[in-house]
Amino acid sequence: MMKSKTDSTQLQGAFVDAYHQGDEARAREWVQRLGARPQAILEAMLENPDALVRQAAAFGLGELGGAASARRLERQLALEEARGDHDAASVIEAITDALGRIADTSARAGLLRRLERLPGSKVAPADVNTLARALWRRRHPELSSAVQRALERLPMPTAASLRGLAVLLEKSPEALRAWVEDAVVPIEQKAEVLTVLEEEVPDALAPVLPAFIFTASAQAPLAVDQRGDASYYCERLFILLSLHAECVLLALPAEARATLRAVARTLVAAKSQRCALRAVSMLQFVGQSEDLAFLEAHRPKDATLAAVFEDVARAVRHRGNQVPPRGSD
Amino acid sequence: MPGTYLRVLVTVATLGLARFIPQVPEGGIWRLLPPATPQGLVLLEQSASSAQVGANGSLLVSGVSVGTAACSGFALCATNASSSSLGGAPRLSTRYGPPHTRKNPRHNAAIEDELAAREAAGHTDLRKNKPQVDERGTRLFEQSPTAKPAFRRPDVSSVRPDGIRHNINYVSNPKDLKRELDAFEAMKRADLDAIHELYLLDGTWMRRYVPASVQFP
Repeated sequence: MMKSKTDSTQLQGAFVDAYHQGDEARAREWVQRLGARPQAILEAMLENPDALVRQAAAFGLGELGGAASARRLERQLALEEARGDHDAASVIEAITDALGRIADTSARAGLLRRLERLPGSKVAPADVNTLARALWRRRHPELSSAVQRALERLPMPTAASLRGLAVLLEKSPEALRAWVEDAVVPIEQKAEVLTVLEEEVPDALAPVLPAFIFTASAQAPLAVDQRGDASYYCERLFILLSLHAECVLLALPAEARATLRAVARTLVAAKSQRCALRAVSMLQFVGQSEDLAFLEAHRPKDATLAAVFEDVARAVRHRGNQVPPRGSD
Repeated sequence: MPGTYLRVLVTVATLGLARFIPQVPEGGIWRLLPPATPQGLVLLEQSASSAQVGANGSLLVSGVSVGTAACSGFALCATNASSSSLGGAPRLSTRYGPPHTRKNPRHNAAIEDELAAREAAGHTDLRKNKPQVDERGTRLFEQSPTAKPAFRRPDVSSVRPDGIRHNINYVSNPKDLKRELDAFEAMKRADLDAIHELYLLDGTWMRRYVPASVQFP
């Protein structure tokens, strides 16, 4: 009996550690090993005074899914909102994320209530971004009006991600392409769309991605010299394409792929070092053997960053030995 | 180095010991700071026998008693003193909520005090053990999409008044140092426009990354 309790405690400890380290794949494996009644164990963990344990429990319930998990998470959301401290905020973020992963209408209802209760004066942009991403995963026409109401209430730039979500919810793929191509639309608003879209790219929106890439090409001369909205847009585009590389990059038309490679090469020298490193990473997918000397010429002295350049060069070399992907010329 | 010593990180750009930096809240362990004067200075109650400025901007003051410090409210102070309050019964700060972990109250105390100092210094978007985000609050991921873990959770994260994101991790257990160094490098790769620091819980500075063109402290 004592041994069983020790094993269970160790199991939960390993689960919490994996979650805390951001290793969601390993945390997911631990959830599967929590025993015959994982729901009960995770619900008990939600009552733990340690916020990290509660965060992990929320993640676990999101993995289990189902209406029961959604209901328990929503109840916990109200409890954490009432606490109102920084630890509670970290649990709220985990619950929001978990609700976004539960494919049940009650999860969307919980997210909507969270949206309606967002405290206008105290909410942080990161909290709004987490919620916007979760709502995008649970997207539905009924969300539009609630998002609009929240936009009327919340200040900018705090609500920037919600504005991006609103664009995605309201526009058809064709209308979204026209919007992205419209030079009058501020580039910061296009970046806001990317920060939500990177959570999930539906098949219907994959054909719009070239428009985002051509827009990046137009912004590249500005992005290379300044840390600002233009470099931020390009950086978020690189992140989106990297996160969904397998689904979207191979399907890109040749012109978009060539443009993406040119943008990445340009921005390897971007003033924003974050943008520059993302550009280098992008070449991992669209670089060609001609880029190897270019990469070597720009390789930094910092060992960590130099290792990124070497990994990218290795990937480019490896791909050079494979059959050229569709779209490369 | 004497058994009891105090390390004070200050900017040494122009100055003598009196030229501390009042506005710039920079990382590290804040938990041993006594209350600051309205001018942001804390006076030594006991004399220091020696002071040295290190290449990294550390001011090493030896021969002082713990609990008496000579730094501004915005300087970074740490102590390795054996008589430190940390060596006895550590407190569990709950200013920012329940303890970070019941198993390691020193870790929680370091995080809590750092957050408190940053809040007082005008930092925004104070985050405790949340996924890494950029200065706009948008999620960040490992530079390689196949990396595991895909993202990190800094112990402390906030945005300085000048808009620069500042992340800190603390090493709770020296046996985890390798893992923490890996996490530090991953956080850095994910956001080269932010400041990142790594400390042992005794205040020993392990790593720091400051982007080019960003003033530090």
